[in-house]
Amino acid sequence: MIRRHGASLAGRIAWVVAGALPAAFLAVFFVAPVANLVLRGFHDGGVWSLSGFTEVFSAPRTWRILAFTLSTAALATLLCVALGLPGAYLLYRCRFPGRAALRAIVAVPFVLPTVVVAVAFGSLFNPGGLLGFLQLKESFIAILLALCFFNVAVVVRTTGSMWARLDPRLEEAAQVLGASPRRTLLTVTLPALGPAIAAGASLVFLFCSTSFGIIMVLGGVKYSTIETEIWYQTTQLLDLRAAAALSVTQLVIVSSTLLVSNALERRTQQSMRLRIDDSAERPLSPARDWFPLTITGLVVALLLVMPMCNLVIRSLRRDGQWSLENYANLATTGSRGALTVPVWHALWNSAWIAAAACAIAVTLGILVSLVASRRPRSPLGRRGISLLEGAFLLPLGVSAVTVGFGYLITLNRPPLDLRSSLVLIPIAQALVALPLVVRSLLPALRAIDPHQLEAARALGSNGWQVLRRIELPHLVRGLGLAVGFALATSLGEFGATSFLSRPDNPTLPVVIYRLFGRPGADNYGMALAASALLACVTGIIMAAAEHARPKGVSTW
Amino acid sequence: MVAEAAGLEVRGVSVRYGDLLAVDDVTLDVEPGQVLALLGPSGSGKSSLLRAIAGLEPLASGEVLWDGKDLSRTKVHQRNFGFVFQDAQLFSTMDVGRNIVYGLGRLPRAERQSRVREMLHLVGLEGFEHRKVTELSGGQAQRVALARSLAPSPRALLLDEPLSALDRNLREHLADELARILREVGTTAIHVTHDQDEASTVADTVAVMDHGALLQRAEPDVLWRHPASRDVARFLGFTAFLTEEQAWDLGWRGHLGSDRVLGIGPRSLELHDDGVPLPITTQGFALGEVEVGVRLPNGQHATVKSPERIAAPQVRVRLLGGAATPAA
Repeated sequence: MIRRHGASLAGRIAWVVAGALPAAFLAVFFVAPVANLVLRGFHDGGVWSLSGFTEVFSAPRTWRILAFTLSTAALATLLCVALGLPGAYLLYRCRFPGRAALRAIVAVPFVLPTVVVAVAFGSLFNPGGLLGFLQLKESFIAILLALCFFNVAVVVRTTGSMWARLDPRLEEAAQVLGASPRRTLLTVTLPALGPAIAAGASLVFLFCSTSFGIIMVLGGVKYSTIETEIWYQTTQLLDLRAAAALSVTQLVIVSSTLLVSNALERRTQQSMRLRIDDSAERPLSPARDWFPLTITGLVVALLLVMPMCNLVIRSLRRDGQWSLENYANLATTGSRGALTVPVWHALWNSAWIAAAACAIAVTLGILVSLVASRRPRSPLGRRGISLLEGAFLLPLGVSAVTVGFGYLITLNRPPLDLRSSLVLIPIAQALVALPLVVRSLLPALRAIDPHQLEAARALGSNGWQVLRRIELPHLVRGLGLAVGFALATSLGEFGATSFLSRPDNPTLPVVIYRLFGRPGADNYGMALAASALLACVTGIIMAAAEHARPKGVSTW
Repeated sequence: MVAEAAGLEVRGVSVRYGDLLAVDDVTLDVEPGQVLALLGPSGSGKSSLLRAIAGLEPLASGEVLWDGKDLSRTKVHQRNFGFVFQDAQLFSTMDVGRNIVYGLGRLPRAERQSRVREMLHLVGLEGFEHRKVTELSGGQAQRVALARSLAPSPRALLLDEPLSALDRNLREHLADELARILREVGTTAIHVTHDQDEASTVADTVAVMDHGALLQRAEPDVLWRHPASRDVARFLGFTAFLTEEQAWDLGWRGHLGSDRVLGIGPRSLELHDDGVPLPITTQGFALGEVEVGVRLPNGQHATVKSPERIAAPQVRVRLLGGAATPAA
């Protein structure tokens, strides 16, 4: 009796420690910098004041930027929903050869580095690009399309996974009552999918309104969003107070969107109880499904594939001829002193930073997932666990620029002066990757039927044996996906890194950004080559990770 | 015969799922106002046949006709059949009233409302117009589903095991209700079920299906007294079969002829002090009665109902009757 009690106490302590470790990481490297940033917005050299806000918000420029940020995000969200819904139906409700490949093509853009995508769309609309004749260089359209390139996948996946489980008999019930396919879609199917669509849309809105790299590369001097303005105020004007005020504004936008998205997701999960076990898929019928087929075909060919093909082609051309010169130039520092180190050096930086960030993110992610998958009996324990899970999704919403800026003003003095050390970059990137890692691992654990664990216990396994023999094998199945997400996120991270990297030690996205902005055919060509290279590496990593995706685990 | 066929006609219909032949060349007809039960074990193809009639499954061969007109080119939503699913399939984004008007098409508001009230009265749920469908019990949801299917006055009502997801008491009660409602509305209907009692409660005639084929179609009392084959008899609950002489030995007074055997069902034997002693093999409870398993003289097993447990190793029983089943 005493021994059993002792064991359960040790077990409880172990779980608390397992939860405390990632929580401490989150507190030091996320909550503290962000809180410090918020304080900075209200605290003016020893006095509490709102002057930072009044100054920032009395400038018409701020309002213009705010309006542009929100309206662009809203428009891109609408477009993503309109283009994504037919894809969700086609890829999750219909069965046809080549579907797996098509799903992968739609899914990969989401994890491509923002800078790479921006460069791809830039070179598409630049003079000489495939769509150069449209003269849309540095235009709103290019920005909008680049945002959609990323986020169509979000709508397709969130809506599609719900659609796949929607009982087809619900639609049949409408049909036998005399509803045409159109009326069935509008009055029964879409309302039933409503929560999933809204959840996907609010995520897209979140990603679009915090997008940094796209605007930095494609916006030129004409367009800026809150994110790029924070960067501009900090690094160009050195006005930290204004930047802090803008960051607080951004935080408000992001957290309210996250709240909406979380509430909607909970509703989605509730209505998921209606789900069916046998698949609702049916074979594709071109006669019936011509509309989603056409839309998805156009989206895949024009929006997703064409820009990347254009990027690769343009990276292989020089002075109107096929050439590998752009790639050869990656060994140089570019023309007119664009860089201080060769691009290969930046690639090496990116690689080790990604490896370190991945190690941190996956280690913490495993701990968080294991703790969050506990099913404690006490309401307090359950509350704590859902709080923990929610806390680790937060970095997803808080903009990377805010994180980078927060590090800059927080971790620059004792007790923790890390600003001059390179350690901050992998830590920041791990933080950005952590939500995706948790979302890959946690569903694999939650997919275990609780009865299975009870059966194992009834057969005589103690808690640790159940963990080792049943839960860990499930966790390992999700590990490939988690590692892929962590590596891809870290390789492409630009927002936080652009604050933290030093000129002599840049990462690949930072180098691409610098090269793309400099004049000269050499620099432009190198930007294209480096982008194509980075896209390839990330694409291969994600394709491998998708391949390892366990059945039934569907995050975006 | 070929001339004016009224009502529903199913001619040589087959349904395939890949390699699996779910419905194999079934022909049957339902006259206007008639209620047919499709009875069979799960996997017998009865639901597939029903879905094919509604147009929800494509036909591998054969045709479905209404009043002599082929429906194969008519889309599901233009067939004007009502369909009730096993689990109601109410639209959770609408309240009860809006579910019921869904199939009504364009009608003036007042007419729509009076139709809803009429339907709710029919199924015994007055005043439920504004309830959320998520707040309904299983039985209530199924009543609303029935009201929703009947509201547009369909030319035929197709019911796909509408009661099988409910618990036993409710199921028996609703089966009576359903029979009353179908008679009241006078609609043509096909009722799919795997429950023998439910089939005879609800339907005028019962068609027994197994392995995709139609085995027998008859009125309930004919079906139970003269099953067309041993398979049908077994599905109806006749577990043992006796020749005429064997039946006489157990105290039966009837006549069979040599080409038939007597199927022994749950109500064939009764306890009787002057009966034949049979060894008891099992005793179990069913609905408050003791179901006593006995071994018949020919080695087969049968059951007899008893008000209480029997302590003795043997029990005296008498054979009352059974199903005259073809011997072959």
